[in-house]
Amino acid sequence: METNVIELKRLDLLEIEGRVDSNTASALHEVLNERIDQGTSNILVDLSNVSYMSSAGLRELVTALKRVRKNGGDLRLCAPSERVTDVIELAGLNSLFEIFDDRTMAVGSF
Amino acid sequence: MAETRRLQVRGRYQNIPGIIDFVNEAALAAGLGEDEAFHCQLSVDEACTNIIEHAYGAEDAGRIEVACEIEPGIITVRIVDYGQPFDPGAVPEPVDTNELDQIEPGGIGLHLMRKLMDEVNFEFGDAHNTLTMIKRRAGAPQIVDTPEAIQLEQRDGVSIVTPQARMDAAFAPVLERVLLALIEAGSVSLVVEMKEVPYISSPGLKALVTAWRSAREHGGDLLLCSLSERVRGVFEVIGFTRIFEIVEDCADAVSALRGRQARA
Repeated sequence: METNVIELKRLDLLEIEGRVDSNTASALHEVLNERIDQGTSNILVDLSNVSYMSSAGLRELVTALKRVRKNGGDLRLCAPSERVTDVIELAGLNSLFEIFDDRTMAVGSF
Repeated sequence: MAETRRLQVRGRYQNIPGIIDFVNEAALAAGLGEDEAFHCQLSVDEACTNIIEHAYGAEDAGRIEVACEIEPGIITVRIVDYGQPFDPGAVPEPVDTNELDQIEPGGIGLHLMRKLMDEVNFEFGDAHNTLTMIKRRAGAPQIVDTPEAIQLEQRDGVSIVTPQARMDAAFAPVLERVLLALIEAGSVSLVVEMKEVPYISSPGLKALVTAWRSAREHGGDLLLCSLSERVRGVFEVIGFTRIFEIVEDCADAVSALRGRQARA
């Protein structure tokens, strides 16, 4: 898994590439925590290049969502593949996150 | 005839992708679709993550054994670990909600496994834990889809079913499904030959009662024969000898059922 953070005016855009599972979740945890610790409260996670996501990855997204919502911000998702969308829905988390098909729309939503 | 493939790895997160590739190949070999194979992969990922996280409590604390039993249209995945007993009942169900505070992220993996697989059963012993998960191809024929542990023979219009396994919580649903499928298919005279059943617990008893009731409702009957002393002892204690007709051997059972068919 690779991550890349792009700092935009009103939010941080986090691009993730590869597999987000129990082997890589701790790296995602670190990136998210680092941004939040530095004061970011709006995060958009671009999932378009995520090939696989297990509950270990979802857990990190939920944990980060809890933190930013507490700070009055939000964590939103964009462009998940069909497989990843299925996993989010099966886990019953689709109503928890705002999920956008399109990245530009997602950026504009903040 | 079922084929069994086995894999054994150290309990490390980085070994999980290898396990799920192995399971994916087995699922495809069983004729499951790509989505169904993916569901198997994700469930096995969640199971192995739970083993490392909860049963062993750390990486490199023990091994994980995976066995995939491949039959046409059905895969049975058994995962064994030697860690702490893992009680799935103690894991809170993540609530289907948009109330963030109510989400328990820890239970998501187990929740996914139960949603993705057709059957999920945990068994824990003193020495090891066994998780058995079954996934079937959608629309796979169920009728005489008997797993390896159940022998089936037709003799004079009677179905002789010979389970060759402990009738416990893991196996009972499998047996029950086979018996009910036979009855549904019109084979309402059945003998369950118990000679190779060393042990029976309440789910096994329930499976037999359910099938017995269904056979009777369909105008047939279900007899038991060749009980081991131990299983017979269990039957006597709970009064099942008064419900079931139990005969000495298979031949007796078949002739008893044939006599009944002739009178009907």
